[in-house]
Amino acid sequence: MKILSELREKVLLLRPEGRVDALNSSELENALLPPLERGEKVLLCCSEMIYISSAGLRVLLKAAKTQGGSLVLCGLTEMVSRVLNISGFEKFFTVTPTTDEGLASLAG
Amino acid sequence: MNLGSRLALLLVTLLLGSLATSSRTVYFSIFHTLEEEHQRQNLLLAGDVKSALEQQVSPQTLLTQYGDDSSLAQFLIRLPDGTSAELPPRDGKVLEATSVRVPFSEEQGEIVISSNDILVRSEAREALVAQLVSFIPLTLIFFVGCLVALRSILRPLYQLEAVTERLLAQLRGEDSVVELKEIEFLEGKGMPTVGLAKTLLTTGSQLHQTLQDLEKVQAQGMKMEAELRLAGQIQKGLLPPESLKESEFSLEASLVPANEVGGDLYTYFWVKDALFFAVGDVTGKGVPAALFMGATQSLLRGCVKGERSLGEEIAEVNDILSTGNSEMYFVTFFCGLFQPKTGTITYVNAGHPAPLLRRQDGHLDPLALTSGTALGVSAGLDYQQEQFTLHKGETLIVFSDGLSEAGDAEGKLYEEFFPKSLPGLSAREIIQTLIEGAREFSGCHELDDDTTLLCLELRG
Repeated sequence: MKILSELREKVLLLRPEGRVDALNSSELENALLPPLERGEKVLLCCSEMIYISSAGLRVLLKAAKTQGGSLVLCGLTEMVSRVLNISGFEKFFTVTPTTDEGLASLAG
Repeated sequence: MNLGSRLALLLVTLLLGSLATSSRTVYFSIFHTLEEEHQRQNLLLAGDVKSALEQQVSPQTLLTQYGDDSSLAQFLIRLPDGTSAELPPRDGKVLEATSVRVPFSEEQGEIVISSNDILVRSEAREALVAQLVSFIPLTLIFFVGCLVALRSILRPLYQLEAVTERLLAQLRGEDSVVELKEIEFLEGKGMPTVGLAKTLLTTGSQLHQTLQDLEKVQAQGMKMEAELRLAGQIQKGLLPPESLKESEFSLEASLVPANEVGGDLYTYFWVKDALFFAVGDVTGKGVPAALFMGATQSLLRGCVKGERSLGEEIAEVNDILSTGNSEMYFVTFFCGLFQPKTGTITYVNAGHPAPLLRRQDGHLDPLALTSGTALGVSAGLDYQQEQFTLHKGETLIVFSDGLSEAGDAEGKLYEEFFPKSLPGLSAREIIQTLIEGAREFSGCHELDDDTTLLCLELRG
């Protein structure tokens, strides 16, 4: 997995590429949690995430429950969307279809 | 004999050799000088004798006057009238190079004077010895200088050798410690090879450190492995037997952990006249997942008693698991209460993949369900219970995502390639077929994730 990161309109845009599983979920955790703990706004773009295991979901949940910052997911692939749906975790996340909508949602 | 002694011996041999060669040359040069000197003196003597003869001094008187000189081998005076006077023969031969022949009185007479070769040779030897003796201090200084230089070259090498030996001893695990500063001290001596040695020895030290670390890690690893094996056995002990055969139905289950301990669980137990059964899958793998699995397994026994609705009882399990779970471990979970007499199954799904229903004709259908949230994430959630009836000859197949998400090399998942139908197979055979199918699909005998299957078959 590779995580691309850029700052756009005061929002940290993270774009993980590849599989997120038990072996590398800590990389996602290290990229996602510290900015949220600092109270930053993070947009996690999942369009290049081809697979997420339950270990990856755990990281997303931890991020969603972190006090201070705000997290929005965008560009969910069918796989990620289905995993969120099956696990019943959709209700813990703000999800937007596109990056722009994600940025708009965080701008408010 | 060590290198130092050999080099010293070589030095001494070279010194003696060059001394011998140069002595020979010096001796001949001294000898020639002496020959010339004698010839010159003999010439002067002949001149004196000639003047004396011209003043009518008799040859005999002259012979007596000059003949004492032991250096002369020949002293001959021949007068114009044919008479001659000569020194008697002595030890030693005439040294031709020193001979002078002086004619006088219109060449009618002559004077021949020659030096004695024995004497000239002994003079040459004495001069040589004197010269050699005068060289002794210089030679000694040269020799000592060479030894000092040799020592300063060899000493760092010997120190290096000693350090290397100690380092090797250290690598063999003997009680010896080599510090880098010892090698750096040698480098200060300007030895070109020491730089290389330092690199080697630094590598050696690192290697030694690495070996030590590795041993520690290995020991820790073995302890950890033993503990994990025990933990795995305890975890296995938490699971009920893999098979339950009753007159109306049979239940078969299988849990294949990917590691010693895992996060999958299955369970079943009687709640009054109904059989409670469940399959769960905790986030991730390994020890944290196993601890969460153990907690879930115990909670189910405590909470599911058939006193309230199944949904309410599972909601209680969720509330307890969610308390203090800041690390957000969770368990996806499917459970049901099965009435063997009627085939009715009341079930609750908490974020788990939908089970499959094998119809009488063998056809496989996913079970329709409303998915609740996986357990452990958030307290106070409601869990909806649903119901369906298992008919005779039908089998409910509950599995964990270790089966459905077994991936092939291209990242495709096994669930997309599940068999459409499994006719004529027993519950146990269904489990074997699906696990084998997942292994074949992923092209790997060991599945990546914990894999659990539970089949409930109502006999026909």
